[in-house]
Amino acid sequence: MTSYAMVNSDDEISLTLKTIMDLTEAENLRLTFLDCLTKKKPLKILAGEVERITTPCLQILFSLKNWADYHNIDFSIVDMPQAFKTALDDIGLEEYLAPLEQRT
Amino acid sequence: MSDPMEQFKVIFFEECSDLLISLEEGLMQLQAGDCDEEVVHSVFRAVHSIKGGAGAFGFDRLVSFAHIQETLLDDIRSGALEVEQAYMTVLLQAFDILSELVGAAQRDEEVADDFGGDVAKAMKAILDQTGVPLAEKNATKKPDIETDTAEKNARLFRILFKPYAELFQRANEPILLIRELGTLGDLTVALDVSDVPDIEEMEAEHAYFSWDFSLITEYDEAAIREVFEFVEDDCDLQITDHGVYLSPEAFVEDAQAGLFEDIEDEPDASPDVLKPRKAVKPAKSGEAVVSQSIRVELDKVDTLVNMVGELVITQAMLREQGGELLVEQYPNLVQGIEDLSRHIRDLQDCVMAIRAQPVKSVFSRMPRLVRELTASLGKKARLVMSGEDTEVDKTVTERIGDPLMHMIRNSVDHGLEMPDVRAKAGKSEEGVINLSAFHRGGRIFIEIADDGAGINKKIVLEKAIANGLVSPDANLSDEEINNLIFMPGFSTAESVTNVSGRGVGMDVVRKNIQSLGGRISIRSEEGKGSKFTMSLPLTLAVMDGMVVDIGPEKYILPLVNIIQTLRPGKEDVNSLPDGRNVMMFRGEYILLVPLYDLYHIDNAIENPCEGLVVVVEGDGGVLMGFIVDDLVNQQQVVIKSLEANYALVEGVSGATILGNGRVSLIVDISTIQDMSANQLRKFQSASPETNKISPQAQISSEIH
Repeated sequence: MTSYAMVNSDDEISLTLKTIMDLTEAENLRLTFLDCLTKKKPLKILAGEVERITTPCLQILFSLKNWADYHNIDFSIVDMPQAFKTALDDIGLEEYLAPLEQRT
Repeated sequence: MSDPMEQFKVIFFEECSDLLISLEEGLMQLQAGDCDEEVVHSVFRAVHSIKGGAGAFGFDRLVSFAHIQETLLDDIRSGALEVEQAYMTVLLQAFDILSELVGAAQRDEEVADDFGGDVAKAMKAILDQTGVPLAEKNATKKPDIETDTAEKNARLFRILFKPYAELFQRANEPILLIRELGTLGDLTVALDVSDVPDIEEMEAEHAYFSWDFSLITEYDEAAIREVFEFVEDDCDLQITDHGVYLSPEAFVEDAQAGLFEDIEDEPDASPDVLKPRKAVKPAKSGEAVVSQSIRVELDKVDTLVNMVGELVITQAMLREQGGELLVEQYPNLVQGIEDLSRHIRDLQDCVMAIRAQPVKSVFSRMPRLVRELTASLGKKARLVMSGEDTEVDKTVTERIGDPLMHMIRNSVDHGLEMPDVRAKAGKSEEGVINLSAFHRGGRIFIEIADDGAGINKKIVLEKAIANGLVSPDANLSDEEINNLIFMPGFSTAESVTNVSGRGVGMDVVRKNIQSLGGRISIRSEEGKGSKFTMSLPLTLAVMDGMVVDIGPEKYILPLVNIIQTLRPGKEDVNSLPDGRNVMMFRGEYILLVPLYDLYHIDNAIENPCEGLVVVVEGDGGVLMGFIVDDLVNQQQVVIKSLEANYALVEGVSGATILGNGRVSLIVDISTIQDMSANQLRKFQSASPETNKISPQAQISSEIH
């Protein structure tokens, strides 16, 4: 299992999602997020390369968003590709995650 | 297997295998005129299920082809299309393509861009005949609510869907289910996120989301359930029919017309959009079917079989030792050994039954073969199968496929005549090939019978003489002439085609069957047809054997081959000029086979009148008398492959371990028959064999 590309700068953490974000990636993603959370910095999820994302990973993203809300940490998802947006729309999650999008 | 997705793929392809069998069975029934609703439904479900699974793994070619096929079947299912012979041909071709696409996906192979394109085009053409081109059909799957409302056909369903963790673990994905649900109508998705825990507490593979869908659709509840058919056991699913959907405008119109007098109130219904005409049908909760089977890796079953095999050997040892105990002195111990023997026998039967498979898995490949052959040869043929549920060990089913295909190919190519020839002979233009399986005497028999021209014995004999397979002055019986087709290099085909005629075939067929401990025989009548009969053991792991003494060694004779054991009188035995002995048995002379000579065993009884003759039946019902010293006992033996553990030994089909812990060899009747017929003289006329040692003695010396 390869790790995620993560950039930990002074003022934020950015983490690049992989092309395929399915069940086999879910636990790795969760552990990576947990690692990010310990830094308590604004979190940017770079989603531009995602071609497929499935429910297990979306659950984790949603939980991450809740954590960020609770701890008042800035959380954004950058450059959601269409496949990502479609998945959010299909599953009924767009109202929670779509507003977090940032375009570059 | 570390990648869980690979495990799911394995399961998917196993299921595909079952579904393809079911699909072909259904199509064959439809082709035979059985248009029962359930048959049509099962055919549709098979394609639908393959498509659903393929989608989960991203097998796009498979999905897109199956989608057209599914749409066509859906039209048949809904009555929009009648089942016609022309459609059946296309559907059978589509089945072939679907099978190939599944195979390619399984092997991770690329398929040509145009593969199956003509069949897909043919299916689309049929669909277009229904008045709605496929593209539009797809587009209109989401009904136009306004139109539906006007026609009052749409119903509102509420669907509560809460997946379990197993749903993900079985490679199912809610997003795909939701998308498929969306194709049925106008779908409103309400996601329930209340169960999602803190990220620290989450289990990545657990399911926390659940959904409350509202679906306005023309489809019925069964269609909705089909969307979830893969996951029914892995989720909570409630589907509630809220009755006919009416838009607010239509509701007002109907209300003004006084159409709601018989309406029962539906408390959950939203008054602004819905007024049901009927009482709400209760959700079919708790209807999940409990699976009656599980899939187990074959390795695990084989390990179990091997362990039981070892148990049988240990039990045989105990029994041999226990046989010396006095019952009066150790009554409980002796009784315990008896009970153990019985239980182990039962256990062995149960374990072997796990490996047993219906021959259906092999038979199911044959209809397609016949279709392809008849199409390429310009013949007409109907394959009639029976006994497909007859069970036999998986190893046997895996290895009879090729011989069976070869024989079917021969039946179509060589057996059945061209339609005009058949018509002139007063036969139906369509030939019939009967493929049947049945159990008899602890073995499985598979018969392939055709009503074709039969074997032309004159041509067979001429070819055999021309090829130097028999001498020109040979005087052969009909049966011996028929059996010439099993000789290496024999072929009567005038030309070599891609179907047959290369002279490589029936000898290989016979060898393959013999390697399974089986036999093949043929009966043929000119002008009326031929019948090939294969007899195979039900399992390759155990067999009932007769332990015999030959000199100081013990050999096993397969019990199934033994006809009788006797000690002949001197007057019953006669010598032939070539040195071989024959014995009168049931009014016929049978060849006496000196096993001690074939196996180079010293100090064995050579005179049959002093030892015993075990009369056995070889290939083609040929009887032979094996000369042995004595019979020891009859017992079930666990077959160990000699080839895998030592080396191939001529005249020996395998080995076993006796109760005394010694290795004993199992006599290969078929090979001995060949050796006796063709090589005995060579064996007997060879120079004194001072260096030769029996295979059993050699193996024992190397092991101990």
